[in-house]
Amino acid sequence: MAAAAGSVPWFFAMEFRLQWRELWQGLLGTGGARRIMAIVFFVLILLSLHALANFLVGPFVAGGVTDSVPALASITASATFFVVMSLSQAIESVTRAYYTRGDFDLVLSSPAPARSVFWARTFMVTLTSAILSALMVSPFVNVLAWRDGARWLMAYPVTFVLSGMVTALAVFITIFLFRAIGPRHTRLAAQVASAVVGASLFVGIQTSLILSHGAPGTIAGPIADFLLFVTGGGDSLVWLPARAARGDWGAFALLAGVSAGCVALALHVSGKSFAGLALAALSETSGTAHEHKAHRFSGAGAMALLRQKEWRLVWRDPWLVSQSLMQLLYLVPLFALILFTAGDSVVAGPVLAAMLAMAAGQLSGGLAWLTISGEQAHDLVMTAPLEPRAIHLAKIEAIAAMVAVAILPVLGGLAFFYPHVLPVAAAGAVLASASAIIVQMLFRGRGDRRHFARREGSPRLATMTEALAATAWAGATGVAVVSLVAGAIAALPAMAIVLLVWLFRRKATPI
Amino acid sequence: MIQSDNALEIVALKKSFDKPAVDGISLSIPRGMFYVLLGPNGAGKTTLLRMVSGILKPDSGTIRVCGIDALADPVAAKQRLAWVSDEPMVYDRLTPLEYLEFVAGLWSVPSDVAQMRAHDLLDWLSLADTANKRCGGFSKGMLQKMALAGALIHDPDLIILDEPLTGLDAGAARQVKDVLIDKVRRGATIVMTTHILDVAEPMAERIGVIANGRVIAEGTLGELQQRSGRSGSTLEEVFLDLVATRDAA
Repeated sequence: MAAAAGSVPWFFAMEFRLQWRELWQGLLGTGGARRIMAIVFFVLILLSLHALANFLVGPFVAGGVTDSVPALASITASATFFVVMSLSQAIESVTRAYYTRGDFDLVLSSPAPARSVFWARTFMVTLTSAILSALMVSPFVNVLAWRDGARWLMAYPVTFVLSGMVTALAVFITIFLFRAIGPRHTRLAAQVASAVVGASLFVGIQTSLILSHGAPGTIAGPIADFLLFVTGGGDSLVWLPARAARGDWGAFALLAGVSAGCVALALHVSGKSFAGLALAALSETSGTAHEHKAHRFSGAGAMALLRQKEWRLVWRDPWLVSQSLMQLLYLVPLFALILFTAGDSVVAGPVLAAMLAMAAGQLSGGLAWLTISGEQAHDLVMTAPLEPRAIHLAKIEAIAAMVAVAILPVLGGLAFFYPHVLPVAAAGAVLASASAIIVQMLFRGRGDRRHFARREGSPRLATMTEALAATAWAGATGVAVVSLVAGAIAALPAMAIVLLVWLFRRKATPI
Repeated sequence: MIQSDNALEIVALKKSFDKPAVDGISLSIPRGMFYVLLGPNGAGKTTLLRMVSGILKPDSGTIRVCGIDALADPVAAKQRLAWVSDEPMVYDRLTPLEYLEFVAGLWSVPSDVAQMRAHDLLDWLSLADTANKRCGGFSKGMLQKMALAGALIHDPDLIILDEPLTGLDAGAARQVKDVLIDKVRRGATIVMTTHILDVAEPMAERIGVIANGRVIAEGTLGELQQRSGRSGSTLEEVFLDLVATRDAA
């Protein structure tokens, strides 16, 4: 039976259909042959991740996983990483629910209760968050179920339950921001909060590890140590999700009850005020208050003006700056490592070079999407009397300059403390950066700059390969610091990824 | 420099997506003419104009802009034309003056000339007060006028406009029309699509009617009236009659 029009299930069905189509088309494209190749690609990735999971958790399950507190602490620590990542994503998704103008004018002007829209969107955020989390943990859960028993499959429903709690927390954070700083600043603050939440855990742990041991290590270790310290090493409610994930039905029921309560409370608190807050958010406009001093034409040429335009557009958008700077947050441990090891560590060189390449790749990918797919006046630029390659060259120069400004301080530190690492690190950064730009060039689309984080208009495949290429170059760069020959061999997967991207490139590109 | 009496010549132009969008269109538009292209939704008008502007590559056919083969030498052809779409192509974080400097730079207009023209255009379009404010908070009408200023800053010979009056209030629409008519008086050629036939009627010197990717009628209003057998009728009546006849056939 179809849901009544305007009801929560009716809105949810609509949200689900839209999300599903976006996800399906984004992941697999529309063409038959491309879809088959994309499926093969994803199966290969999944198999690789399962092999990696088997390698990582193999020692953990070799003697069977007990219900000991240290084991529960390790499981909880690993889960914490995924929960924090989900929270980061949920804050952004919930905030977007308030600011997405697309259909709000229609929905809020209709007699359907605004509360129903918000409830449906909150459920959708929960579901999306749960599916993404389940996908992320699936290699580990499947390997654990295979090696230590099917009870580990309970980790999937636990993921859904935790996603409910995470979404409720994201709703409370967003409402708090609205009340505390108003709609004008909430979007930026929430996006910064989202990025900080996502990056802080990783950066904090890496920094502490670097300062204590001189090299980054695994994420779970320090969190587990911290949890054991906080709980005193005894039985605690903190272990509830870990117990539930191991097949303890009592623990699962309790966790599910708490999660349902959190979601209900979040919906109750926020549902009534949603329409008012959404209208307040939508009535905010950007740019009206910004008046600049009288502008004189500089006489610069077309290429220089193209570069200046890109720099101005990024610099004048606080959200883009914050999002880009968040990607640079990962460079903070590099500074710490350079300063505190001061050339004494043999481990630091490869790690520094690898992380620098990674940061350069990520930053370049984001900026390349902004300047190429996020071009606001695409038709204007395309009708300009310039060769397309000149336009692309100017954009690449603009990206390269921004990336150079970001990573030059780290390169300077390297030159001073680890001069032998500098050439390889710089080459790795250039190659990772070039790969990310190539990916965005070959998969260029048309996207709204506000959807920078989601790389709107670019296929999911492009976003994933951009990240994979950056990771592969980072690995190869780290290895190359130790041995150039080994580094060249380690670079083969990175080159293969770029080749794969070229094969999958969009055929119909505008002239 | 290649000289031609026609600002735009299109011969047997074709473009297909899932089905033919432009199906062998041929057109010649003399210099200094205000030409209006009409057609129902999905007729192929925008696809045709996007190909002329160099944004879309045709499957076959030729395009000559002021005598220049636009497919063989797109850069030279683009130097002579300007394109304004119904979605204003403006950067929300730039001010009008910064935007006009950028556009002038793309077309290599000397900066002193560009600065003078920019101020004239902003005055002309009643945007001088907002010259140093970011475009992000502008209304649709202001953005459309900004896009028009950008199109005119390099003094193009051929101006292509796709629904430039959509969403404009009466005052803004009047300003845009006055600017366009003045450009034609000064020798520029305008090719414009519009669904507002009351606007098109007094402005158009010649009218092309497109349906299903083909030109089904072309001429002055008088010629089209004669062809549809509705002497003295309005452009709207003639247009509806021509399209209905075509659909029936």
